[in-house]
Amino acid sequence: MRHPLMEETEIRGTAVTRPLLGARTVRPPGRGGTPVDLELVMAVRDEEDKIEQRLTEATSGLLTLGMPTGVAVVDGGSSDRTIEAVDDFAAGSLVPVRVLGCSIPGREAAVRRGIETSRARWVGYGETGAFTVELDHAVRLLAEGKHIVCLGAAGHRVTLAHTAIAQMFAGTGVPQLQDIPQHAGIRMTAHGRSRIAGKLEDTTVVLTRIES
Amino acid sequence: MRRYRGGAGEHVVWLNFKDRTHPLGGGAEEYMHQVTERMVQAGQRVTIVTSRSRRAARRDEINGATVRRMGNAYTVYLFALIWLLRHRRNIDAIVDTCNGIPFFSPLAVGTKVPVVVLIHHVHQVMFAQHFGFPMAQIGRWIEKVGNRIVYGQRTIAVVSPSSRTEVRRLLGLIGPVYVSANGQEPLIVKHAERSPAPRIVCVGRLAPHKRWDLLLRALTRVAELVPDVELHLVGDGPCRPELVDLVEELGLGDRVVLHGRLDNGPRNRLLASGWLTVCTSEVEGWGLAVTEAMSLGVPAVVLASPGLRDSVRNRQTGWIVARPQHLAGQLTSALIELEDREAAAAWARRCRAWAGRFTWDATADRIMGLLSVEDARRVSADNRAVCDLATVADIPVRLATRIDFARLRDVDQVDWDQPDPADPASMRVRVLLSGYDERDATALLHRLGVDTDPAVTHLWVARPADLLGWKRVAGSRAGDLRPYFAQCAAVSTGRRG
Repeated sequence: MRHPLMEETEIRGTAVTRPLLGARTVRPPGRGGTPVDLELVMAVRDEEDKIEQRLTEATSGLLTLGMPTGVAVVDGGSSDRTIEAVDDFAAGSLVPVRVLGCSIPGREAAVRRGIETSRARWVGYGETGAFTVELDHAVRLLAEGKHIVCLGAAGHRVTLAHTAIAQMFAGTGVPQLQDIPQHAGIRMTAHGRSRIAGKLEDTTVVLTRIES
Repeated sequence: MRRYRGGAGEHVVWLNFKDRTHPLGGGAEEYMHQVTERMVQAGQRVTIVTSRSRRAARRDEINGATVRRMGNAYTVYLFALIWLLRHRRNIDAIVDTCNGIPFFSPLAVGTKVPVVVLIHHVHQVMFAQHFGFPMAQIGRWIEKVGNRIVYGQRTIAVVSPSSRTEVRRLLGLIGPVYVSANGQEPLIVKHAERSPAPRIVCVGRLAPHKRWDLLLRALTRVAELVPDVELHLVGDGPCRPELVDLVEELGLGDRVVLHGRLDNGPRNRLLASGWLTVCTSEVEGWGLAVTEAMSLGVPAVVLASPGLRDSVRNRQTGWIVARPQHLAGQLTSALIELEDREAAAAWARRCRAWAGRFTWDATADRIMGLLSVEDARRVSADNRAVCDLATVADIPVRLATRIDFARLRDVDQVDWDQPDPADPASMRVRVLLSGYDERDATALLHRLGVDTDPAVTHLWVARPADLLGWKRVAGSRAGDLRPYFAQCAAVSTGRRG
């Protein structure tokens, strides 16, 4: 009574046809692609209606950087069509978007999964928004030798870091680095633009510098 | 102690407030009878507990399943609970259908019997449409809060990914939700011929929510570029007078035919002569009219509404239109594309292959698998958090021979290509691992001795469309898969040698 192993699924009297092999879904875009310098990790769950806007904001900022960038969307178990919406966006995006899943509950676990699987030199995570100037500045700081740059701009917080270092504290927002040998030599900075007295001011501060 | 493993002699109770003989019986009842018939064929004892319509017998037998009718559409829930309480020691598994209001069977049987809740679609909006205050509010509360309290983390079966979204978003149920799609009987039309003129054939009730008016209005614009297009509407309903008026108003009398109800033979012949079918419905549990047309090789254009978008593979078996205003453009381009007979034949092949995936055998297999899973979960709780994620592992048949499918879980599903005589080595096997991400799937495949090199084995997070059309359930009753794949792999190796 169950599906017979040897019987064709085609209806009788029709030409034999191959099933929709490999066409069951769009293959996750970006997989196996060229490594990028910076990858933004976005943890999502049931965000079918918002994901396009989030990706548009994130990729528009990345496109201005003039370097190979990408986005990793980590789905924490959406029951809606979030991933399909990501696929649709990725099909027309200049920034490569890869999709992966995380069965461990929680946003932090999803971010950690994105960072652990990233092949980029630097990763970013947090409330990815429409950054342009801030992102550019943060990348320059990373290129100059900073290991972690915390951004706070336009009401969003993003942390950018070297991928290897990000794996040490992935998903914890602004990293709380303890004074332990493992953290020796990590250079961390915060960069933000806040509206003070009607003027945009750069409030870059070096938070911690622990020499090895 | 385990009660249900899908074996012979086990007693399954199916609770549904109607059965096939009920005057208002529909798709949910067809689902129930098709699955219970296959359970009986597997040697299980099935009792259907349902309401009793006027002049219906209290006790009956349909396709080998015993039918016990009690109470009316409202009191059946109480009578069924009493019946369950009396027979609880004699029941091995329960399918509790939630047609807006579930039977709350756990109140009668407790945790000693596995209960799977079957939800075809969510009724929150319909309560407000059909009942006034306070019945609508009570119904909505029962469906939402009552469901959550009584069923807790019990397994939920839904018929489509759209229903799964509704169950989570509107009802907030917390148990694991699995898709168990409707099957269908294949339609066969001997010597079917495609109409020489571009013909759209639609089957469906002429009801307000079907929005046939959208199609008629779009047809006026389609006719500008495809002058000989014709539309045949099969079905009847309350909107017929309005649609007749609209056809006249739009000047479509020479190209639109409202056939009314047709017998299956003429209906299927007409459907098979179509180039295209269209469904403009706002909401459907599942696009049965669409997949039936596909089984005759007719692709579909549908609006991106829940249920319908699940039944069509966009740009492979049809076209999903995001907004009604894009309907005319999509219809025009589809008809122009289908003018090419070779292109149309390719579409037809894909449609038949897709529709052929939805069988009642697969549905029954899935439901039995879910009952078995629920029983296993009842006896020994799965500590993994409930997660709607699933991962597809796509592996060559030679690697599939290493997997003992009987050791996978009953929620996992298996699908495979039919061996191609010209190239047997190209055969691939796919496994849907529910609740797993790619890392979990990789770890599992490693444990099973399967190479996870991305060049050989493809892993990806399942999209909603990937949850449909699986042939078999893995787990305890899948012991025959490995020998079969070994046989296929041996053929391919022999060819190569």
